[in-house]
Order: sequence, then C-alpha cells, then structure tokens
Amino acid sequence: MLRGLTGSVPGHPVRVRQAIMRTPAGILAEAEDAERLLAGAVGDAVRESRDAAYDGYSKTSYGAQGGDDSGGFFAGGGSQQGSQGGGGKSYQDESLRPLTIKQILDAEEPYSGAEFKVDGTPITQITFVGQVRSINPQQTNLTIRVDDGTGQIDVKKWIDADKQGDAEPGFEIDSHIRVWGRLKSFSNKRHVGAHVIRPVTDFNEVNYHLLEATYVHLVNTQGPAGAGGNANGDSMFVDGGDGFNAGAGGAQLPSKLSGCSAAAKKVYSYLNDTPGGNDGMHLSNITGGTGMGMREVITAADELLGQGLIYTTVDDETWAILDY
Amino acid sequence: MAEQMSTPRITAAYLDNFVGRTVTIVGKVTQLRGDQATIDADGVVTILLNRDSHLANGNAAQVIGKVNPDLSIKALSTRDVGSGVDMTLCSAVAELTHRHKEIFISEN
Repeated sequence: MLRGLTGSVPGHPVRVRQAIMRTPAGILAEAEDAERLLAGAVGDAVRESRDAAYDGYSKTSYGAQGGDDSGGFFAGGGSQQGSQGGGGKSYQDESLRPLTIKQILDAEEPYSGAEFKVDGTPITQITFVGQVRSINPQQTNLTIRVDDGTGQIDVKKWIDADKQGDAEPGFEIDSHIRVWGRLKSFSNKRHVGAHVIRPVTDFNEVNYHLLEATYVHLVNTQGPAGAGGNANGDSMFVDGGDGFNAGAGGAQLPSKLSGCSAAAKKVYSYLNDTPGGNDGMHLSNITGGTGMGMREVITAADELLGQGLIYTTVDDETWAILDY
Repeated sequence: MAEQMSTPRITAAYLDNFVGRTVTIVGKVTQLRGDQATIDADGVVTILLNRDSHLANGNAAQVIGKVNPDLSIKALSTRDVGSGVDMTLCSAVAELTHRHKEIFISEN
C-alpha cells in the first residue's frame, strides 16, 4: 500500500519512502500523514472535475452558478454542491420546468415564503420565452418586463460589477428572449430572478417552448405519455402522433382520442365497433349499447364533436365517426 | 394581479370570436401597401399598420393588435420574425392554446 503511494502522490515520494524505514510508531504516524496527503490529492482531483462540470453547467445555461449570479445564497444552489457529500434537498426536487407566464402568475404559494407549486408539483428552476416590453437598468440589476401573450412578469438580472459588459442587456425592446431563473416573491409581487437570459434568434423556439410547456403540464395533470394503454398525453398535437400508439398493447383507438375523457372514448369505440350504415347511431342506441346514461352520452358526444372526431347526421342526437 | 393581460394567439379562423379584443397572430406577409398589409395565417388577414411597423414581404410577422368589427386587425406592435418560420406549427400552436386555456388564456 505504501509502496504504491510513491507513484500516486506526486511531489511527496521522499516522505513516503522515509516512512518505510522508520520505527513502527513512526511508520504509523507517517502513514496517516501519507493517507492525508493522498486524500488531499484525491480531493483536488474531485474538486477539479467538479469545477469542470460547473463550467459545463454555465455554458449550457443550467444555472447552477446561480449563487454568484443572483447575488445571494439560496438553498437549491447549495444543495447541488452539498449533494457531493449527500444531504440537503432531495436531488429529484431540482427540476427545470418550462412554463408559460400565466402559469407563473397562477403558481400556488401556500403561505408567504413557501415554495411555489404548479400543477401540484413544486417548482425550483424555471424557463420561459417571451417578448421584452421594457428594460429598466438599475444600480445592481436590470429589471426587464417580459410578455409571452399569456401574461407579463418582471425579470431581474443581477449585474456582476466585475464582469465587463454585464450591464449590457444584449437584446432590444420587443425582441424575444429565453429566461432561466427562479420564481421569487417580494412584498406580494412576483418576479423571476434570472440566472441566464439569451436572445431567441429562431422564432420557432417560441412555438417550441409553448409546446413543451403544454407537454409538461399534461404529463403532470394527466399522467405520462403512453400510460394506461391509450392515454398517451400527446393530445397537444392537432392530429399527429399516430405512430406513438403502435407499441402500446391493445390500443386500437386512434391517438387523436388521447386527450378525451373515458366516456368519450367509450362512445367513440361503440360508434367505431357497431356496424350501422352511413346515417350514424342514435342517442338511444348508444345508451342501450354502452349502458351509459343519456346525459353522459350527450356530454361525451359534445366533447367528441368539439374535437372534430364525430359529426351529427340526420338530427342533433345522431352521430357518426368523422373519417378522413 | 391587476395588470395581468393576455393576448391570445389566434389564426384567421378565430377572428370572429375575438372582435374587440387584443390578440397575437403570426402569419406570412403576402402584401404591403402603405399603411396596410395582408398576412396569411391559415387564411388572409388584413393588418392596419402603425408608424413603426417594419415588415418584409414574404417573411413571417408577429402582430399584436385589436380585432376590428370588419375582422381586420389594428396593429399595436408588429415584429418581423424572419423567413424560416414553420407556419403549420404556428397554427397548430394557436389551436393548442385554445384547447388548453388553463395555461394560456386568462378571461378578463
């Protein structure tokens, strides 16, 4: 063990070799010494690799460096460092949620200072895309009003006085930006403490963000995609995603039904499975065939009509599947 | 929140339902004539431009404005968003925002 150390502790080979020639007590003391040196060397290596990882974070704008960007210590940033030694906040609570500004404004705050929840899930880091409405440079921060068409919110970006050009926003009024940060509440007014703000150069990212926010919202409210056979949660696509269901066992219903209620699915599959000519199926046949109540069927049919999956035929209570 | 105001994303098909309201519409600029423009957003929409509108023919534009009774839009803010915009995606997203109003549209 000690022999091996000569190589692995660069800069201290002499000391370790000395230890081998000493008295037992001396060897013990020196061995402890060597062990400490070794631990130090390993520690350096770990610290180095961790620093490298943090460089990566700041490049990918994950915001792990938020501690020095937002000018204050916060529990989340601390726990990321702390997680090296285990402890602090649970790692899986650290998430990056894509949200619309309306969701941010609607986020529940059970009591003042509590963590915010969206769709019943605590939010830590958030990201959103919007248009800059105003830029207000202040002594220590830039206050930017952002609007994404669903609402407006103030974003504060702390200025690092040591960084050249940090006070320059890097974008103009009315341009689109993406923001990463944390939701804060200060005297009953909400703002986002930004870690990173960057201009959006491709407008498709705006649409992409809205899709992603909806996707996460649906996963959190209706369960993950593909769960339960045909509730594939991909209902945000107007029509697509048919291939998605191919693997899900026993799912013969088209994926356009994925956003519908169970009752609507039942009515749809009854219409689908019952041969009945081109005139569709009357309300009384459906109630008889499915065992559902009249009102239930009407609600389900309304839902399917709204989705454009069925249409009324001879009267308002006779429906057929809309195929195209 | 007092000043919470949403400008719903729409396409030409939704104009009827939003007369008198402020909306967001994204379309491809097909005509520019003085203070008027037409854009294609799943259908043709006439935009009455304001003085600081700088749109380019053939590019996509995002217009925020008020829907007039004749279904033209009086622009409050216009922005050229370039040529590489997926218009199918835009109208799909507009439809999506009406399907999931709970996270996109505040009624006020």
